[in-house]
Amino acid sequence: MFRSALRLRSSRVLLVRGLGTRRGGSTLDWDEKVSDIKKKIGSILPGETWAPLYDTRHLPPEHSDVVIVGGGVLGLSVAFWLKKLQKKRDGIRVLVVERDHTYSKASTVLSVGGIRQQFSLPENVQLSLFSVNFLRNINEYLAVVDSPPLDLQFNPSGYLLLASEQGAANLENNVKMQRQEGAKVGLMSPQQLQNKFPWMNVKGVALASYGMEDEGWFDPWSLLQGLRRKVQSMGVLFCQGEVTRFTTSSNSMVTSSGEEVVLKRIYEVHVKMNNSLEYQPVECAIVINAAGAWSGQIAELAGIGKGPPGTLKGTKLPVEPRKRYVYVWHCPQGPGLEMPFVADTNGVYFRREGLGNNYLGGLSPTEEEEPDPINLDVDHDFFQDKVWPHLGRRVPAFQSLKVQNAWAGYYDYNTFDQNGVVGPHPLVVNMYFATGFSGHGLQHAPAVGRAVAEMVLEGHFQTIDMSPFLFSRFHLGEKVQEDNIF
Amino acid sequence: MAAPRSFLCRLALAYNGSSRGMHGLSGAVPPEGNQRKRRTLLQFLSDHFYDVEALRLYLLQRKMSKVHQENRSLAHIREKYGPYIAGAFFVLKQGGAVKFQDHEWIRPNKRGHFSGEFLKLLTVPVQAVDASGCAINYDGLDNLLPLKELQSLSLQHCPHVDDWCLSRLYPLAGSLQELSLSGCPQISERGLACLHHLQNLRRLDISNLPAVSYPGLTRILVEEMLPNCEVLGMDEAQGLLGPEEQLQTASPNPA
Repeated sequence: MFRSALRLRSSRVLLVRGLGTRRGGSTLDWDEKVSDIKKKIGSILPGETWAPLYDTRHLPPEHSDVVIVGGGVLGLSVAFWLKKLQKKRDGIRVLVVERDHTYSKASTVLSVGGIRQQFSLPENVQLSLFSVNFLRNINEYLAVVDSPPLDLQFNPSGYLLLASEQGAANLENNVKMQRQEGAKVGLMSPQQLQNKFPWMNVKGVALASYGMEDEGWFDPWSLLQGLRRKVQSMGVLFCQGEVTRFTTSSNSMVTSSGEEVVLKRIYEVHVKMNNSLEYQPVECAIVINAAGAWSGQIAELAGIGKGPPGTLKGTKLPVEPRKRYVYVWHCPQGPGLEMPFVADTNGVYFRREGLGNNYLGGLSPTEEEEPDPINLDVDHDFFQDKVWPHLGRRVPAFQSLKVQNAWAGYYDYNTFDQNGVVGPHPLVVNMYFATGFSGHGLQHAPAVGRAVAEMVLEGHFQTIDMSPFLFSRFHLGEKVQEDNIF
Repeated sequence: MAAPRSFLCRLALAYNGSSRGMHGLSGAVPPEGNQRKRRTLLQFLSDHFYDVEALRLYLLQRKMSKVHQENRSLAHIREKYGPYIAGAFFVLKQGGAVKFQDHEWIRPNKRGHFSGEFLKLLTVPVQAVDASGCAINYDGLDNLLPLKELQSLSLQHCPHVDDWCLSRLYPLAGSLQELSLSGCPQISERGLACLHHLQNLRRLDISNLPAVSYPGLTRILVEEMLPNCEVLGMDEAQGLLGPEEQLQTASPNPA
């Protein structure tokens, strides 16, 4: 027995030596083996996902209550408010699916970062007021233990909207409405404008509205990082992947007038990993479409718009990407610290950037001149031909400037009425929209996030009534047009 | 021998140091390395238990709500006694000083008590407010903005006064002649840019603002923005070597 044990031991030693020689190295990779074994044992322990066959930690979880498609500022804002307004701790499981974690094409970080209350719709003014309140108290809302406080780099310099003779009456009505909602906006005559801002040429300006408080611009990247940090600390899961498929179940019902309506529910979301064919079907209860410029594609995946045109089934989500350019230039004799965010009569906008006499601005092209949104290349001729002449006319110092930098970003442009879409779809009952804000999504993000979270958790809007922004308006043809879009 | 003592020290630090360990509201934050070394017991526990993390978050929120409580709106006092008395009461309650027109400065004593004599001055406007070191913030300014004849405002070393508060000062543009923001840790050049509304300002003290990057350049830009105003502090020489100092550092053995 002793001899057989010796023989066994020697044979085991031989076996070990045999493995070593087969691999070609004298030292075995014990560290890797040990860590592999530790991972396997770790996955058996309670609380971990049991994955005996292969490692699935890079994949999203198999079940999630809410799946938010799109991890920009709107998606993260919805995630934040869902977790904040949940009644029980860890009561709702949220997964945020973002295709590009570097946010290289996301509208949020390429945005100019302005926030204003000077809109023509009362709902938009209220959204802005709520959001500015959120930004002011951001270190209370997004407080994370042991993290430094968030600095949004907010410049409270205000917006200055100029109006020509035709637009003056409209501007005055808008200002009256904005003041009623609680925004601190004042009107200025051309003479007052000239006294206050001597660097401006007020020819052609009949009236101007100036925001005294709560308006300005800030750094959208820090808002995004702050939201991300807070939302991760609240337990929201992040996944880097692309949504490729929605699996739906349908339920046919008959209306009181005898029409047959097919209601669909999304019960599974296929999330495909980047640079691979691997995908994970995530079972979900609610899907939130916050995909920004690509929301139209996500809506098509859910079957929205596949039907005879003119019916509710055939109404597509009218959100498409539109490319917008932003140019940064240096002008040594330009306006000083008191310069607000100026929006000219024809839509040219510009503001100060930093302390070194740098300015940035741009112009939204007309429908005929819309650039192809296939990539984010910048057209410098657009600045030469369309933007610079207006700049030079409005601010004579800008007649000599030097363009330092330029970039392009997407607007999630709502071709119907340039205002956001919020709320559930009437036929695909568990898809909620939070998109289509056409250039003012960043400044409304906290308020819209709260509205969508209230809709999901309570079933109706509580703080701000956003029922004019529901999807059904596309089918009914009720436009809520916003005039002050840049 | 050292272990039990350090544990006791940690326990003591945990109670006091928990507020130091969490991020304070006054912008000057110690660098990351510093925070890593002085880990308190609560910080250690909150890395391992969700409940301790929730407790720390609750303590932080409670600290913030204390500041809110101090800055609540005194609308009922304003209705009964008028804006001047309400503003004066607010400042005195926070620990600042108030000067009515043709009267002396009213200050609370060391215990925070102040005399109620100013309650008789119903129609006398407030001329100067010294809110140095007070926990005044954006909401608290509600009580100061109706003081339409305020000539001098001192917000030195106020930890919660930030750029948003400065953007709110424009209603005082008609009368404000002296403003002091020295030592406020949260004010940056972005807030100073919205002081252009205060055209009657004659003295502006912006010395010792740690959050302002490029103090020399900011001072020049502020001077250009407010041509009639005397700007104190943030001299160009701050941080730069003058010619004598340059010679001294160049030659290690001065003659």
